[in-house]
Amino acid sequence: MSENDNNNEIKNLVMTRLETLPADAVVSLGSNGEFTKDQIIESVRRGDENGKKMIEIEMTFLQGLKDGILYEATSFSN
Amino acid sequence: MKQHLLVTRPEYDYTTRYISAWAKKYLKLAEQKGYAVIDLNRKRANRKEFESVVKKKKPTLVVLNGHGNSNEVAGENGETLVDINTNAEILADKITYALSCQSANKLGVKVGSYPDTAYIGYKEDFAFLRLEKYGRKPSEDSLASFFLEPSNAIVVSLLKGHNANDSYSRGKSEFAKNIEKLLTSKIKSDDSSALRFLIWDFKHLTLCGDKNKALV
Repeated sequence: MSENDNNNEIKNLVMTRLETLPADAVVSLGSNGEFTKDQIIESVRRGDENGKKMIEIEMTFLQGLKDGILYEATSFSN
Repeated sequence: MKQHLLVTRPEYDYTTRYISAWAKKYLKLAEQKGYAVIDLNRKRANRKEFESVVKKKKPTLVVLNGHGNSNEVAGENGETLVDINTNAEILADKITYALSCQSANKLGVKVGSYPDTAYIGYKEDFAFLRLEKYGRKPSEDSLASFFLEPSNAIVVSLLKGHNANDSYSRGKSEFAKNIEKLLTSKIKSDDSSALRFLIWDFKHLTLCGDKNKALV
């Protein structure tokens, strides 16, 4: 699989996962601004800076699942 | 002599309006605990007034709510209040908590390098979710509460006299509790979409400097 194919797969994965956001949710990414569900999905599709940030957030979460960040978080709460 | 708490609360977009509204929740506690609260809200969150108040009142705790980046934290309309190159030393010998993007990355490291000084902040963008219908009443937004309650817990812990490390850990722990809640089936699936952002904030919450620094 080429790097381009891989990037497109990641984009598609993130866009699909963002569909679970509530319809009236607004994502605040600090100084980068605020985005409705449709806007942030579109940013990911376009691959602009906000989309890249959103992909980074999503991949941190997914990578974190593999690396046990949820275990780290839940052990922090105990 | 009364200790001073200095809080900056710009309000010029939805993000700053939200964090400003949630900051109000600990101002009352601060007064009850005997702190003199200096509240730089809206236009008062400007550099001239900020520097003047820090020099005159010598607050022991500074809470910065506003936009930022690796090098600075801003006030009203994005005016820089403190930055790494020109006035970072203004936060020396204090505890600072910055609810701001990225500032613990460089600014916090520099501030934390001063003696008897602690800086708690975020190495990356502070991300949160809110619901559009609460735009005019941010403090009632239950989705935003998953993020802003853990943030407030840090300040509350400091006001109660816990040291910087314990207060940082308290913040982490409150983020973690919310992450755990969202992992259970008892939570609405809409809310569980906050998980990715909570993990992000949990991961990037950072303490720089003197871990044992506490308000006396």
